[in-house]
Amino acid sequence: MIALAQSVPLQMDQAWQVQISSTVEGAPPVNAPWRYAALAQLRTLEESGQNRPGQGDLRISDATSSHARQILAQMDITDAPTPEVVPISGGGIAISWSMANRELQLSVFADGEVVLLKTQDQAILEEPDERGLRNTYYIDGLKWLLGRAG
Amino acid sequence: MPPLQDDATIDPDQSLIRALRPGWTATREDGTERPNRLAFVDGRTQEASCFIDNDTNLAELRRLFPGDKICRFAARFARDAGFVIQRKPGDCPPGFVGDPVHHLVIGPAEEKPKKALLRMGDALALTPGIEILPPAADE
Repeated sequence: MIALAQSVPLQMDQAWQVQISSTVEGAPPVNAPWRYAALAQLRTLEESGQNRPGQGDLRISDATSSHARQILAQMDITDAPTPEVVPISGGGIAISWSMANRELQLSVFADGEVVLLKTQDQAILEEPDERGLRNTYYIDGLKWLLGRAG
Repeated sequence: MPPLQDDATIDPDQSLIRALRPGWTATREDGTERPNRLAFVDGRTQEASCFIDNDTNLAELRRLFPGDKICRFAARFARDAGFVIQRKPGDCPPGFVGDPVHHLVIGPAEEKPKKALLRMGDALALTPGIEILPPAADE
């Protein structure tokens, strides 16, 4: 199940299965309330998304939501705060965590691109995009938010 | 999609309004509300619809997007953040009762990487003078 989560896009609800089956060694932990809350918000966005001329196209494709689920399933930190999951015009999804003066935002766009932004004291931090160089890229972002990584 | 051309007939002090979805706002340290970067980002078209600020258009936005918050900002705020402003009457929402030439889009002059677009949205959202309008009396 874990190999599946890391190699192919998950289908709807498979991220939940990853958690349920997480007695497997190395699997994401079961007790991650923030992830359950994020998935519930994501489901609401999927159901409510509309094309709203004058405001934006807020419809989210199955591929985009699956991509977001796949990323969330990889973030095996139990005690992160509950993120806010918000639509991005053009069919994307933004997942934002805030803690003290830090914010971490993962933007999953409809074309598959993912942008991770770290904000501290309302300023976006300048840093190289190391996605692809480290398979812990997203987890490290969450660790940074929690003050566990530089 | 970009490229867009800035319309010099839009005065830098012209107020523009845009309807925001829930989640496209943030709170300043002083407790007032402002848009966040997502309010001005479209991952597909890179264009965000706005309208010339007047009573008719404001009423129309409130009618078309009931319950949604509306932000107001000067055209120069958008330009200072790197956006250009172009009239797009042809993309005016169906059912809009007002002058379609009052429908504008803001976006980059040329297509930008998404990270750069998010930064532009951030710069506009953090502009001190940008505001969220209070709800209408009947909302």
